[in-house]
Amino acid sequence: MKEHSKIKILTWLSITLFLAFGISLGWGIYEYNLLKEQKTALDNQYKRALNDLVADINEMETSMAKAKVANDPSLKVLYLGEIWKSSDAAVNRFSQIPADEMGISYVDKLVNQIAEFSKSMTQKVASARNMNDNEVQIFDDMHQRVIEVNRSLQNLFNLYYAENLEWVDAPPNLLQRLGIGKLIQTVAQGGEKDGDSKQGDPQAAQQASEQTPSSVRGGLKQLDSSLQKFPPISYKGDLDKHFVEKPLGLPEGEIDENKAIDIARNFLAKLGYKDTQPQVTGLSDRPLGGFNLTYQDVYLEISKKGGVVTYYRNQRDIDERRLDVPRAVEKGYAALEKLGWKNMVVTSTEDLDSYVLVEAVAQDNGIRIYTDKVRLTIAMDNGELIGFDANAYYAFHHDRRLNSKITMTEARNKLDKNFQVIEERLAVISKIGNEEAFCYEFRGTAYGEEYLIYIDAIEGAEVKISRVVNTPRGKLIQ
Amino acid sequence: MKFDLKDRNRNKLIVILLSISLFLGLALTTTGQAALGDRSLSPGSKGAEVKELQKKLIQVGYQVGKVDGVYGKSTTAAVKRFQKSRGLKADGIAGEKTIAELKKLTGESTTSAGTKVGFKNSDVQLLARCIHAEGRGEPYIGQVAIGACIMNRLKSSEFPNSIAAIIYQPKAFSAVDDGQINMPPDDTAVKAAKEAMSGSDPTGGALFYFNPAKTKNKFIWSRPQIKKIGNHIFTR
Repeated sequence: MKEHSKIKILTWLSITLFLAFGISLGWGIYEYNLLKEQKTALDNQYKRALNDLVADINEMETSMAKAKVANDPSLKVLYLGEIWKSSDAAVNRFSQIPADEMGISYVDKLVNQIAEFSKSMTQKVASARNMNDNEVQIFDDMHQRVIEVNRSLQNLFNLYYAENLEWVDAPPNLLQRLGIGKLIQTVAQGGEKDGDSKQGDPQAAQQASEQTPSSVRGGLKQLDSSLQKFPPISYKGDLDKHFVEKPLGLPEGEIDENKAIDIARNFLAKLGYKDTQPQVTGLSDRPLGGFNLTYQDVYLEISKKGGVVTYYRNQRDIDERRLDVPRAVEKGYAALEKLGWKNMVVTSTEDLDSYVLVEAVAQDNGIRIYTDKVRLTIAMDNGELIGFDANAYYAFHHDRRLNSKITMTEARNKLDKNFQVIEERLAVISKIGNEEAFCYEFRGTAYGEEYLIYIDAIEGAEVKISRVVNTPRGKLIQ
Repeated sequence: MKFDLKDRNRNKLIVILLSISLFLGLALTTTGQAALGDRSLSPGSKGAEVKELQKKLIQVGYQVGKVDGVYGKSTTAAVKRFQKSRGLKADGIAGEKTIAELKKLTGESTTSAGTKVGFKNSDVQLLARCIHAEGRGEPYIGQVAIGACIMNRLKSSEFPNSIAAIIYQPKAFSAVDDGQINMPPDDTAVKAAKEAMSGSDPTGGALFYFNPAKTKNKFIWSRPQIKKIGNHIFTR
């Protein structure tokens, strides 16, 4: 009897175990298939991006070859436009391909430069002017590099299809990490494909050219470092405006830490703070930088050169809103006056609920200098200035000799005949790169839309159009 | 086909029942979908109007947690925060004025002639999520600084040309790779995103940032450093 029940228990146990095994097996197969499906879907996306990238770069290279020789402006503009289009698409595709780490991309840089250059050349050629010798040279330089990029990319592409390359180099496995297995060298530090030994380290270039990429990303890294070794293209376009290398507006002289504290205390006192004890809590290393100070919720940056407050922000909690936007603008003007800023005019506001961002620009003899701007943040509970950013002002402000060659009437005659002018004035705006343009600014309406149209006050060309849209939080200039 | 009387009666009954339930269903859904603003909503309210209210609060940057159509604690708190920062009586009740203000702020942008041209804020939510995932716990300007880095990449030639392309670039942000970016952002992150998008940059032109206590990555340590804000070092 005992024996019998034992067998019974064992039978039930094995049936249960068998069932459990069956269920988990089924579940495993289901999950495996699901994963496979998703992996395929993802892989297809990557493949699509790579195919598109190769096609875009190839199209760009071809259009560059054609644009070089085109002599009729209408055709030249067409090819330049094609370059612009395919370069933009290429940058986009490039960012969709898997990577194993983050870094600066020189492929992006070259392609972005070309996009920017072709854009400005399109504008130039369309206004019936020719590219000058220097521009022709830059364009050829760019083309030579693109030929190389295109070749390498197509090579990689063929390799990908022939050898089923992985997307990224596999990380070292456990044995390799323990130093037992052989570590496959990655190609991150690659060099020129064709062993151009003029630039860079010839040994590294040699080494890299011998290597066949073991993954798509590895191949792209090789390409990237081969581009890095080319001398920089002499074109300085609209690129990299995020960092100001040579600020124009900082006063002369250098200050030390104690002076920075004085300046901060003085600045805060003007805003109504009493007996502050700001402390230097860090340094900032940039041409506009210097000392970072903190005092309670306040953060300030004071430039080493010239000793001016470039950035101030009080991060305090903001109480119930009691002001409206026009009142905030008044408070902004009042704060500017307290801080000793004269001839500033508010050009835009953005309502962010508990505070409002106000932009003010310098106005000189009725000429609005849009490049020399400061940004103010007004707390909407008591109208206090809680933010001040003068980086743009100190980066671009300088003495300008502004003499218009054409008259307001002449400029107005250049406008679209449907455009109804509401406001007109002279203005300095930023153009490609850190260049500026001295313009007539016309605010007006046409086709039910509000625009700002800029006519160059020296050459008379229409240089910029901005569309003005009313958003719930203020006017948006697009 | 052949029907007998019994069958036909049953069919009739089914048809009647069906139409009654259909009518009831319709009546219920229409009351359920009363438009936001028809009546004032207060803690304890439920239904589609509350859901609409919650969606609009999120759209303007006030987080309510789950959009569940229940006017609970977190919705009340979000309404209060919204009222406070818009100069309305902060009572946590979504009355006529509160709803009108909310509708105004979530409205579309228009041309000078009044033609609607969309919301013009598509990237704010994504940027806010990235800031929240990467920088929650950092001081406010530290969060603006993260947003500013992304905006600076937009201006840089070494990066892709749209906010989405920059954020989703493989291995660019750890919070994207591990899925934290899909968490809803808090009010602070939304504000920081808006401020960064409008051009505020406490970093002075940084492209990268890292937490020195948490990374040994050689590339990032090799970048020229600009300054430290909160726990992050910002670099060119």
